Amino acid sequence: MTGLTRRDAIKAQAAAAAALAAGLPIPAAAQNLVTDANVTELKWSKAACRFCGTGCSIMVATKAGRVVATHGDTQAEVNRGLNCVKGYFLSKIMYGADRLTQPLLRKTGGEYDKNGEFTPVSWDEAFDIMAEKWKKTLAEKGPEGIGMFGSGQWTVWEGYAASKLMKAGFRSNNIDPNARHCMASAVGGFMRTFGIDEPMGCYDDFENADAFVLWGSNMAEMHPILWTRITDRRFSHPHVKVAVLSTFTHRSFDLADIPAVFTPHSDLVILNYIANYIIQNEAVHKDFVAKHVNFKRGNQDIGYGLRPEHPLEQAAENADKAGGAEPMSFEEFAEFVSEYTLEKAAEMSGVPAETLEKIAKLYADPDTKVMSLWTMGVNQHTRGVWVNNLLYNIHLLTGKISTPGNSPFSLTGQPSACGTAREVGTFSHRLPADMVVKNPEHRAYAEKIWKLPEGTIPGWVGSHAVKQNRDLKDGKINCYWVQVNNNMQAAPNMMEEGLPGYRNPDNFIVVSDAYPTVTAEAADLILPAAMWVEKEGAYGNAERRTQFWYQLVNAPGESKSDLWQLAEFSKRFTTDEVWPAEILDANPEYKGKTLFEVLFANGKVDKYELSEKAREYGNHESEDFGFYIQKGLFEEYAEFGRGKAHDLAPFDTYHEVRGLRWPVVDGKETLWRFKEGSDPYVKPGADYEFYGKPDGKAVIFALPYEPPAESPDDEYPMWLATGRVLEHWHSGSMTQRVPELYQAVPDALCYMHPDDAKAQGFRRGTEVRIISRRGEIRTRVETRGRNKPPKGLVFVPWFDARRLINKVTLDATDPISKQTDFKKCAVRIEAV
Amino acid sequence: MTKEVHISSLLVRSNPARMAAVLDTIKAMPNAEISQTDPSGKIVVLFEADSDRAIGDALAEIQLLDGVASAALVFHQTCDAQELALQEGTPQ
Repeated sequence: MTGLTRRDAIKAQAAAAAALAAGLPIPAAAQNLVTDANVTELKWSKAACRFCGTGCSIMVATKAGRVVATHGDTQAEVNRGLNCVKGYFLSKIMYGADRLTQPLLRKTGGEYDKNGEFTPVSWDEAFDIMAEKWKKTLAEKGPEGIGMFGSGQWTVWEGYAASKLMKAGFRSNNIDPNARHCMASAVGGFMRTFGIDEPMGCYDDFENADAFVLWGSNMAEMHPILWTRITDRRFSHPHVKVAVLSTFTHRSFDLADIPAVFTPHSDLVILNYIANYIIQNEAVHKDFVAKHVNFKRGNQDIGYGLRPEHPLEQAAENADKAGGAEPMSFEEFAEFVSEYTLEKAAEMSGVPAETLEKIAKLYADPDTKVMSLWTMGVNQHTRGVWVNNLLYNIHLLTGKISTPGNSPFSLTGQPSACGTAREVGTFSHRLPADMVVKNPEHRAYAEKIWKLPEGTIPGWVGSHAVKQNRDLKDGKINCYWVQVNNNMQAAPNMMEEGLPGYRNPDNFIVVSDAYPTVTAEAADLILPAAMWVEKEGAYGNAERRTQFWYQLVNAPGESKSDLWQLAEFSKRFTTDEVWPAEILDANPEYKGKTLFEVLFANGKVDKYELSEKAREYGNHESEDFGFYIQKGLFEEYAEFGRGKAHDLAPFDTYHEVRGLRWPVVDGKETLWRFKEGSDPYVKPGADYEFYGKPDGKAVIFALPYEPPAESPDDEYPMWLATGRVLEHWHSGSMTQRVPELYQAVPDALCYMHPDDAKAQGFRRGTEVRIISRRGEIRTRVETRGRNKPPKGLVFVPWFDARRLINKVTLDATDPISKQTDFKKCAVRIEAV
Repeated sequence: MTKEVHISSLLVRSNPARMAAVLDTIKAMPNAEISQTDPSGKIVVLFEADSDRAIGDALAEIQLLDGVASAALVFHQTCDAQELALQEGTPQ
């Protein structure tokens, strides 16, 4: 080793890591160095990335109690040693200068005042005022008067603890995650078509498909690591085709063999045309369809999820039964889609006929294995559930499903939208393992696992994300707790709904966050949160992979994890204060107990001793509570899914492996569900079985084109689409704290077509107002950038807290999923 | 800590037909050196810079080059400039 400097050693290590990730030979000079502990003196541990839903495993190095380095985990199947630009800056997200380190309460003259200044207080004082407000509201209005808004960034046990505290402790189903803005339409699509949530395929499909079709997804920027797998497949197998469909040209189009820019909302037409093409060209897999598929006609004219008094809702025939459907035959379905001809599809979508035909042929050709991929373009759509259903239609008609490379794949935005929001069931209508609060048997099952009296969990469906903001504005919800999300910036129509709701004098708003986000600043009490590797955690990614990590560093100041906050707050309430007399009279053994005792010290969650936790890692919650709370919560939660096609492995296993894809049966993960041979839940001899449905058959839905809630007109002549850019993630509350990410794209710009700009006399950089019927923002025109809208459409990213595009967006939602359509509303652009 | 130095590596996937032009551009970038290439279009790039920002900017620049399909970071370490010059095996 003589003659080598530390610089040489670290560089060799960097080169070797990259070579390993690329599958290239490791440079000879590096071979002896990479394992030399003296080189770095760092402690390396695995963790799941806390940014997008891909679920990359990251190696995290700590030194003197700080995270100092990260690199992609070479042992991880998901990312194989790679790391995108967001993951690269993971080591910095915890160290922003404005990190919150103590509870802050609005006060004037030493007393709480909604219009006061944020003042540091102790955790005791913070919980005192919270408990006072909660108890007052519960006494006056009952459980309907309180609410909680969580996230697909909650760890599995945080979401589980929150759901249990709200649904069983406070007996309120007014809990929803921000995954409502992101994945609700995907969930609706899965439940309607298959009766069970989450993709049947997995990332192994990337190396098996012959064609990739992107429906409203810019994977090159949003899912860069998965995009790398597609580019590898494309460049190493020349027969592979990539089709990219979007309402504007973006970075993913660079790889597109078949590019298609379509008119907003006309995806409904294109998908029905493809189904029609498959039928007209005898490409239906008749045997598969006969054995494994039912046909249904979905209710039409279902409205736009606006407030009920809105004229569009008044006019909609089926606004109150949006999800309804009636059986139909294959022949009737064929007749239904027959009006969606190539000519009609080309005219309505603006996509050339030959392009549409090329895409249809990818699906129709029995020898082409197709992977369809989609995210927000499909889900943030007033007919988002329908588009999900229509995508499954074309895979089911051709039998291209549940086998390697044949994969309709719903990508995920947040790191645990699947693992927490969906699987734990933190939605206002859900319980764990796809169960729902409306179903009395499901409630009884949950009460049994939770060791709670019959009737504890209420059967009413709580308010979803958009309705929670409306309820706050209307004074129906008065106590509201927001954790690990930035909903003031994320939710639509902020000026008419979100802000008036938070600042309603009748309301007390609590926000747990690591940083002073727009949402935190709109609150009355801010609780400082431990983030990512400052706590032991678990996430579940888009391919059903559950991953764990340890607490690697201590959180700054008095910050505590959301789990600690939830469990600690539960100590402030006794059952007598929150449960009705009839439940306690019938079950006197619960009388006088705290919610902490009945929910967390219930003989199950507190079953595992503190000594069982890993000695070399901290665990601030378990150390405080005196038992291994994460293990207890996880094992109790896992009871819901074991034997019910959602099987999770034992807790300790996940600390050893790089994640496992559920169902995990007899120690084995499941790569392709619903297919005999790869899914242990399929009955022998069935070949395929869609066991989420009672008869084992998936559903093909007849669903038409219906217009959007708002389209351009004379007064507001342009489409507005919102979205993200590579350098930022979601609302940017973390990434904007990383100067490198922030400076790369400092301001949200208005991307527009040069001809549209010229017609209005704008130049690149002109300051403009983007005006809708609801509000306006100021920004600058960008006519070049890598996002290139067609004429008539502008694109504005939504990460910029100083240019809140959600002042402009419309709070129209999919009536089935209640997910907002952030991709289309009508605006006009004026020079300032 | 004295002056910081950031060392990182990234893996670039270029269109094989355009790899030569991509390589020329990367070679001309400050702080970047080519560590390895492969005919399938894979390029390993090493970076040494005095700020994260320089690396982030370079990454964004490479990712947006014509002919580059994707660019991913593999390794990143923040180091003390004085320590880097030490011979291997020197006690701290």
